[in-house]
Amino acid sequence: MTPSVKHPGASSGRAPSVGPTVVLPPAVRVGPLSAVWRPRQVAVLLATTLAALVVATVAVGTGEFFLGPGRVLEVLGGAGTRREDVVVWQVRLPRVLLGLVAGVALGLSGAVVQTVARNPLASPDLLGVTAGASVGAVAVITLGGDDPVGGVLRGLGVPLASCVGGLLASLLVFWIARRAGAASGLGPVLVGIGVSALLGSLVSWLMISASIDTAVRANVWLTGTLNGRSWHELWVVVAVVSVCLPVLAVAQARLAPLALGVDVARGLGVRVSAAVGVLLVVAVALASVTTAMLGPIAFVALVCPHLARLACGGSRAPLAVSGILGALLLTASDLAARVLVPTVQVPVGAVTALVGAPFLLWLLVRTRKEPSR
Amino acid sequence: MTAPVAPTAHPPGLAVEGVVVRYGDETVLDVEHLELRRGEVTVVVGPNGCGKSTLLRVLGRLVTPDAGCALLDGTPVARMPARDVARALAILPQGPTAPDGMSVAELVSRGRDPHRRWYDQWSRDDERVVLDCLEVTGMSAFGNRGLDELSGGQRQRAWIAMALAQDTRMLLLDEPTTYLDVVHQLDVLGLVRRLNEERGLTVVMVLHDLTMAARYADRIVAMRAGRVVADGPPDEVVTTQVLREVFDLESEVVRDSVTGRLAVVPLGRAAPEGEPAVGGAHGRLAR
Repeated sequence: MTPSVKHPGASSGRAPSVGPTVVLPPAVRVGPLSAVWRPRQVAVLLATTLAALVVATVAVGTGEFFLGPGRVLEVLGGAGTRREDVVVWQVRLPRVLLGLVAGVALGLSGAVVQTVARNPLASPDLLGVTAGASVGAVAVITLGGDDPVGGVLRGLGVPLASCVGGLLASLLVFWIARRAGAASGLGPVLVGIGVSALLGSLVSWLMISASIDTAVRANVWLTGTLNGRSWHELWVVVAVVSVCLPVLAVAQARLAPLALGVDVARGLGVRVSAAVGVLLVVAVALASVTTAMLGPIAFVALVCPHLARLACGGSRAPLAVSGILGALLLTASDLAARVLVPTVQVPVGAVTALVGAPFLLWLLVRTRKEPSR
Repeated sequence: MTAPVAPTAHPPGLAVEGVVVRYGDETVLDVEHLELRRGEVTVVVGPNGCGKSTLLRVLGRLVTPDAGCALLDGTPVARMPARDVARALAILPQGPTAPDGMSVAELVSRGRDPHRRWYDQWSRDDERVVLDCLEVTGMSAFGNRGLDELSGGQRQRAWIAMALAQDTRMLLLDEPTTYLDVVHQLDVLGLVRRLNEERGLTVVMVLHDLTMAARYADRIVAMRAGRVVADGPPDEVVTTQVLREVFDLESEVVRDSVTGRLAVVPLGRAAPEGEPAVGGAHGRLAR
């Protein structure tokens, strides 16, 4: 079979072994077990976790009735007065914990969506999840009625409706992008902006057709805030997150090959449709439940994966770091809102937008270079 | 079809049986029977839109055919677990893209994904294979560079190194030389040839350049309008008549005195009507 004529290129092309040798990642190996050892990632993870806990402790102590961080820990340990117990356990702790868990959900969701969409500008916000969740929630609030039965429905219905709304809207975005042959790159983001605008007008229409009272209630939800949130909301988010985490722990192994594109991932033995489906459902569920409980929180899901990538180096945001950064960012934003403007209840969504919008602009300028092949 | 479809009847290697791929109403691929024997470098040529990429994608399980199947050592690939296919056959699609900031070593390490387990993420084998693939592709010196810092040819070799890291017996390449200047084309094709000769790698690749195809292939498959028109060694397929039939190309085929291989001198577009029938002396015509 081998041709008699020697192929001219066959012997050339081997580069001389000069230059620096490759540094492959160090490994931890025990028997048949092995893992890549990423010291920088571990250090960043520990540092951000510590920072988030410190901020959370300060946040629990901060307010009209001030407690130092040390005193907060004592109260949590059971040494508080009755008044301290009420302030910490009933008012501030659930709010701060909700900020932490919701931040984790947003950070994880953002990292997953960005990797799967292979687009640094993708986030659940821009892919229609937030707009869809808003339509779902506002529809239930405005159409749910005011009678006691409607009230119960509302209590159960708002989170459910916003979850379903978020899922449907993101499915619509990906379906349209796929039909238009723009399933990767900027395609889904552009479609997402279009779908979000459409859904936004639907929200406006619902608000206008509603009575003043319900419109005000819907508007409160639309601001995106931790104000007045309590254990009830916390448990809902915790429930969804604890269902999503194990799924994500298994499915996250597919993220690295998927980051190379659908065809390459398939060539590497990934069952792409199944993997992408599971990952996006988890990402959308995380973003939707957060939106359901807090209202739309802008930019956290977009910014955290980038910060994680910058902090850890490499080409992809480590999920855990992105999640913890979400917790840190959301808790810190809420604390900042309370400290900087103590007289008014500033919604945390306003603070994250204030930080996130310039970041998005910076990102747009930065990514306007030729994509690498 | 002469060969029975029973698994044992197939020689080791890749084959397609009765494969039809349609996009909407249009049939883009319709191949009764094609065998790609182990240990050979097969080059698929044909005009734009002739289905050669689709053929490669069917072989590599990136496309599920509407009818028929691709066989890997006699087993339909559609029935094999995705992971097993990825350990037997590596496919590099056309113009792959990596995320910003990815290093060559990081990319090549991805080639180990089909061999990883959740508890076994980075074994000594993984490390050895990645280093070896960087070495054999001449990319050792660039391992820690970002892909975006490399030239087109180096980047292509990095992607080939990733496919090699899958440690497969077969390598499918879709237009590996597109966008490369002539020296980088020679680099990449020389590397492929060397991998075939030194490691016995079975290679199937799609190329546009007919002279390059004649130079590096053991066997050429020529396609037109979704069908295999000619299939045989370069001397049989790269002829004036076959090229007219496949590409509507008027050409002169000469033997290059330096390489001893055939070279195509393109002359112009052949008249579409009244072309002479292609004789049996020029290649095994599958049509």
